[in-house]
Amino acid sequence: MKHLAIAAALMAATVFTTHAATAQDAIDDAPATGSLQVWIGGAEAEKLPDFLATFEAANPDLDIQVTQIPSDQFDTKLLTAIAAGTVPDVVRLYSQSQASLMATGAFAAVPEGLVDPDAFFANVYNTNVKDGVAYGVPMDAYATMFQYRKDLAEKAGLGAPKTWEELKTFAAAMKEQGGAWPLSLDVGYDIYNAQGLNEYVHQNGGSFVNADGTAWTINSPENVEALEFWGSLISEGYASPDGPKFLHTVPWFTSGEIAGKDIGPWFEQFLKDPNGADWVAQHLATAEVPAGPAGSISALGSGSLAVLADVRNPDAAWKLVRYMAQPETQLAWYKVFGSLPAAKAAWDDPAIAANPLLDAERAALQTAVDIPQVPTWNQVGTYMGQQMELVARGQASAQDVLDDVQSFAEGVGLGS
Amino acid sequence: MSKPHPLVTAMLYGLLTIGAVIALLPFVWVLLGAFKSQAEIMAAPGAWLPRNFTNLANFLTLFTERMFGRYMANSLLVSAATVITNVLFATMAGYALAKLEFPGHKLVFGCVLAAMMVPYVALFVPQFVIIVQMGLVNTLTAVVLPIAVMPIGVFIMRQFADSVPDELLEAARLDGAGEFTIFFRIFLPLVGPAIATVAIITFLNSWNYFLWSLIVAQNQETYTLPVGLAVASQGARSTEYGLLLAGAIVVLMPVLILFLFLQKYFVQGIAGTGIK
Repeated sequence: MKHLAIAAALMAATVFTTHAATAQDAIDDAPATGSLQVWIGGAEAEKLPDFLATFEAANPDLDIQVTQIPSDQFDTKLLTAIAAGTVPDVVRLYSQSQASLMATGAFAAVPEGLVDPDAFFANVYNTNVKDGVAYGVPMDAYATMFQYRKDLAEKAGLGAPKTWEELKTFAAAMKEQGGAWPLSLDVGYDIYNAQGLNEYVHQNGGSFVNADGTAWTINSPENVEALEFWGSLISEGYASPDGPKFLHTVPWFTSGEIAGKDIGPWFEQFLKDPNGADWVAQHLATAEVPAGPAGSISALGSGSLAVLADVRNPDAAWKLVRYMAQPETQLAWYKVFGSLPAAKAAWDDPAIAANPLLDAERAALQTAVDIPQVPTWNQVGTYMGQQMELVARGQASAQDVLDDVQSFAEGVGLGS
Repeated sequence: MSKPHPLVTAMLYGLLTIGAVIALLPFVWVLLGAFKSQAEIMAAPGAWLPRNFTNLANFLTLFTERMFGRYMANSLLVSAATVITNVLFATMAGYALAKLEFPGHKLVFGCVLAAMMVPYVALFVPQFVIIVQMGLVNTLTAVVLPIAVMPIGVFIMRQFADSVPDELLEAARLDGAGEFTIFFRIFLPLVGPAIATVAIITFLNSWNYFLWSLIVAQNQETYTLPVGLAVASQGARSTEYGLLLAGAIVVLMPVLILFLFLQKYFVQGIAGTGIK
């Protein structure tokens, strides 16, 4: 609640201090000069300074300073800086939280011709587009996949489930193989539950907001059905409403207590850390998430680089962004840090193409959907996640819960 | 009052012991976790004891690769400065408000009380804008300034000062002592416990101060320990729990050491003010 209050105070302050981004001239190919401040809310800042040595060698008169910021306070810090006019040049944005930052209007439009929009997965690129103007350039992307214990599935004579019905058949068979709760759903009852539901909603042809983002459509019949299906996985005994909690996912999957979960590509490394690469090769398989009536659609996450409108050195800032957008750079960054490239061409390199666990990922990225890109999603999604517990525990119907969340969301509005 | 039955006493001790164990378990888990690798923490089923108690890798990483030495120095500097300014100014203000008659002293005290009631969130943006205009962004001075005098310290000192008998001060004044002599030689020695309370509260506050320190810092050179802890444990794919737990121990140590030496004043401070 405290964070929300701070965010609200900051948003109010920024409204008066920022002005609309102005169009930037085309960026030339001359070496960048001057100094650059880069803010990153994550572990990447550990590795990025060394990684940028190549870029700095090509731009000897440029001095780049990368500052690592605690991820969960990144928005607060950036909003304060926007309000006070002490912004860095380049920031790293995440699709989960960037809508409220973009709403400040403090970002510069991507200069004409800086990058080719078609070079990226279309849905990833579009995350940064507001009213036809792009305000960020994609750096990395991920989509959830259905990841399962292939050894247990083979014992049961099954492959990956391809549809909602097959998911239940799969789960029933896994129960016979001794898995107490064959499937794992998010059980934190927070915003991640709502993100998870967003997947099922789109698989059923629904959406939380209408096509042009002007109204909440949370209690539409498609969404209610999707939540009913989600709830039925619990009520029919295929998933537990109590676990595994986040930290337990790896141990439960390792022991076979759970046999399948929609989760991002990082899961492979999560499992390798304690179990080793051989264990992963023998036990883990990935597939596109089981399709609902509208197809197999998974949850999208992505990261972009954006340049603030009020910076001292926009020319150098955009040159850095352009460098980070190249497929070769993103591939090199994948090898250093493990974030999958948003540039499609990078996916043809053997480092990615030869990993069978990533085949499904590449397919999923074509169709994956974002959380609603509206500034108030944080509030609405958090409330939705909390209310989903009522469905998980059989205390309310999907219809009642989504009606309630819809009226909550209408009260909060769309933030624009 | 008759002595309770030994059995009752025994049961009471038993219950209290259970309570203490429950309260301490999470701390023990953190302490043990600080010696584990990420793989050990993530392993199934998790073991309570680390495989190797001499595994100091987490601590070494923090200090050699994650700038913990720098953060520690910054934090100590900020905390020392805040404790000194708060004790000095709060004591003086408390003395003036309780013992000196000057026009508007009630109004001033009212302002102090009002300042205690303003939510910190409301001051956040204006404070930062002022710091920017003063040109102090990215300095440790900017971290200290807004908490250099905390209203709660002034309030505590004023309440304690009230209990110092006027006669003592009067006697000194009749003997020809000036206000500063009275303050330093008569008043200060009498309010030792209150000073300890203010110092401890200030230290805990500034030591744990997170959001403001983060906002003011523009690069990692000016991060304090809590901010440093938050970034140091951010791993490539998930939180690096070993580093987080080891870092938590590092952050906790000075507070624990202080508590061991000043236990009496901690208890007195909490009992006397109701503030932790």
